[in-house]
Order: sequence, then structure tokens, then C-alpha cells
Amino acid sequence: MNCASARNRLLALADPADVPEAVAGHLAVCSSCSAWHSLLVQVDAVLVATPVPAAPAGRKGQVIEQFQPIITAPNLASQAKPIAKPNGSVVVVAAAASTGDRLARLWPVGAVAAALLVGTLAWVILGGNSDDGMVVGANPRDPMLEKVVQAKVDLDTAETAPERLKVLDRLATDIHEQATTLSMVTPGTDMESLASRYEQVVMVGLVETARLLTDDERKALLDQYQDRLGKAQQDATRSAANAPPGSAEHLRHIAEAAAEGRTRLARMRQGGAT
Amino acid sequence: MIRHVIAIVVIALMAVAVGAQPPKALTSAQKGELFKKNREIFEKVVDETVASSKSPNDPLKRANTYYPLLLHFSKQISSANSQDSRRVEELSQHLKTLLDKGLTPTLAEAKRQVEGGTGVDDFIKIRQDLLAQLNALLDVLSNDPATKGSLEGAKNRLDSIKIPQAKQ
Repeated sequence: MNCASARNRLLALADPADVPEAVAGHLAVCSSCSAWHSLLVQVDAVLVATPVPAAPAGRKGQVIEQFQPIITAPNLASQAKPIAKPNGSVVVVAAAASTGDRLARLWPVGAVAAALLVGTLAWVILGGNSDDGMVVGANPRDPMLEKVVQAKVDLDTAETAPERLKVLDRLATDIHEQATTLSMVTPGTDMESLASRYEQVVMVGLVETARLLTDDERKALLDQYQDRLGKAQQDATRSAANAPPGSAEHLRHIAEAAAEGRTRLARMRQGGAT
Repeated sequence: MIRHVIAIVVIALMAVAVGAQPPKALTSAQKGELFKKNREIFEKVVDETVASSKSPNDPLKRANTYYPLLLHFSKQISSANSQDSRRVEELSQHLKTLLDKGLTPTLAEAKRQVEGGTGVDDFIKIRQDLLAQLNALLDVLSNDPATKGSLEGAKNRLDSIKIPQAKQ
């Protein structure tokens, strides 16, 4: 408890001599407040003992005037002092808050500053550095470019036809997803570019690579790629139905390429000519 | 006092929760802008990936697919150079990935395949063309020592893959 709150509690008491325990603890360690309290008790006693005279006209105004704020110099305000008025009444000047008390009242500012510091540190440590480096900012990195570069590298270092098939399937999926995403925002040339590359990857890359599989590999692997192409066909057809002109026809192009690729893989799976 | 401490702890926990949020993903509009900017490179990389898929057993041909890529990346990096350092950095990193993780192992495989047999002349020519194009790019990047340094490392690793003179 600080001096200001202790004195406010004392002023609120009906009998200032009857001090609550919490305030008594403060008075025991604060000589300033203890002196102030003694004075308060004296003033209260004087007030109680003073007979109430009959109030002549204008007396009310004079009384009120006695309690007008009294300006004191800062260096005299550290201790409460009774000031005798010319008419003999006493006014108690409350002690001004100390620097420590003023700072104590600024705790919300300190709390916000501490919270901001903790939040900043958490952002730097936990969230400030994304793994993929694609942070949204002034110059974000292009995730699609990163995917196609990785596909090129992976394809050239793949050692078997199944590995190459996996890379090409992933590339086709990435291009399809990009086309679906961009269909609402960049119709036209961009969509045409994506659709034609999707067709190349499926018809030239995926299907031709599948020809290099052994019979056992075809039986084991081609079903899943057929299913994925079938799903791509359905998704692209559905997206085309809601896409604006300039995108819809290219999404249909993707659906047709997926359907054709699926048909060819199915023939291959059955061991027929393609 | 206790209420003050509780208030600080609550605010700090909220700040941690907010601060630790992962960065938001790119919006469709942002992806669209990036694709417009990188469409030509995207097309070139996909085209050369499909070309590579046609030569699964010919690493020399696959190595040769990096020449048009190197040429295209060089043009894009040169045009962005001194204007957009962030783009130069991004493209250079992709090029470094292509050289270190794609071309270098592919050329090493090609070397093992042609060494002592046919295709040595093709190997030498393709290797020289690639290195010449890379040197031209490094000249352009003389004002960007960090990027130049990272690509020089890739070039040195590529340069080390050579067929001994006696076998030529």
C-alpha cells in the first residue's frame, strides 16, 4: 500500500482513530503518514468538539471559502502540515505523491512495454522465419518457381522409371493446383501457359515414362496414377464450370489432357497398344 | 500487486500467442502477380524438364537441357541486376540449385558414360558451352559479390568434372 491510498482510506473512515489493519501496517513504517494521521485525528476531535453556532447570513459562503485549494510550494508538499487560517480554522494539506508513487501508477505502461518485448522475441524465435522463405512481404518468393526447379533437379537425378514417374506426377499436380488458384485472378495468357504445360507433362512426360516400366511395375503403379488423373479430370471440369471466360476453356483443356492420359495409362496397364 | 502481476502475465501470453503466429500464406492475387513475373522462366524450366524425361538413359542430353535454362536465367538476372536485388537473389538461388543439384550430378554421370567411349567430343563441347555461359553471367554479377561468390562455387564444382586429356 502506498501513501496516497493509505490516506484516502483514512479520510473515508467515520472515525479516523479506528484504523484498519492494512492501513495500520503502513502507518507503522511510514513516519510521514503517521504524523498526517495524528493530525487528522486531532482535527476530527476538534471538529467534533466545536459547537455549532447559529449560522448568520453569508456564513455558508465563508465556510466554503476556507476550504478552497491552497497552493503550496513543491518542496513543502512532501509532508502534511496544518495551516492556520486567520479565523482560527485548520486546513490539512495532503502530502503530494512521491516520485515512486507516481511511477507506481504508470504500471500499465510498463506492462504493455514488457508484453511487446515478449511478443517481439516470440515472433523472432517462433514465427519470424518461415522454412520455405515465402514470407508475405514487399518481395515474396514465388513458391511455384521453386516447385518446378525442384522437379527439374529431381527428375534428372532420379535413377529409375518409377522415381521419374513420381516426380512428373507431382509436377502435373502442382501445375493443376496453380491453374485452379489462378483461374479467378489471371485469365488468359497465364492460364493458357499452365494448361499447355500440364498437357506436356502428362502426355509427353508421364505417359512416355510409364512406357519404360516393366510389366510388374505397371501393375503395381499405374492404378494409382490413373486414379489421380481421373480425380484431376473431375476437379478441372468442376472448376471450369465456375471459372470466368479466359480460364474456363483452359481448365477444360487440363481436364481433357488428364482424361487422355488416364486412358493411355489404362491401355498400358492392360498391356494393349497405345 | 497480485492483480498487476496477473495482468502483465495475461498480456504477455497474448503477445506471445499473437507474435508466434506463422506468416500468412500468399493470396491468390499475389500468386498471380508472381506467376506473371516468372511465367517465362516457369515455361522454360517445365519445357526442359519434359525434354529431360525423353532421355532417361542419356545423361549428356539431359545435361544439355541446362544450357537454355542457364541462358534464360542469365538474361532474367541481368535485366533485374542493379534494379531488383531481391529478385536477383531469388533467381540466383534457383540457378545455384539447378547447377549444384541437377547439372553437376548429371554431368558427372555423363562423364562416366562417355569416358573411354563415344560421345567424348559432345561432352567436351556441352561442358565448355555451359561454363562459357556461366562465366558470362558471373561477369554481369561483378557488382554483387555475394551472389557472384555463391555461383562461383557452383561453377568450380562443375569445372572439376572433366575428362582427362589423355583419354580425349
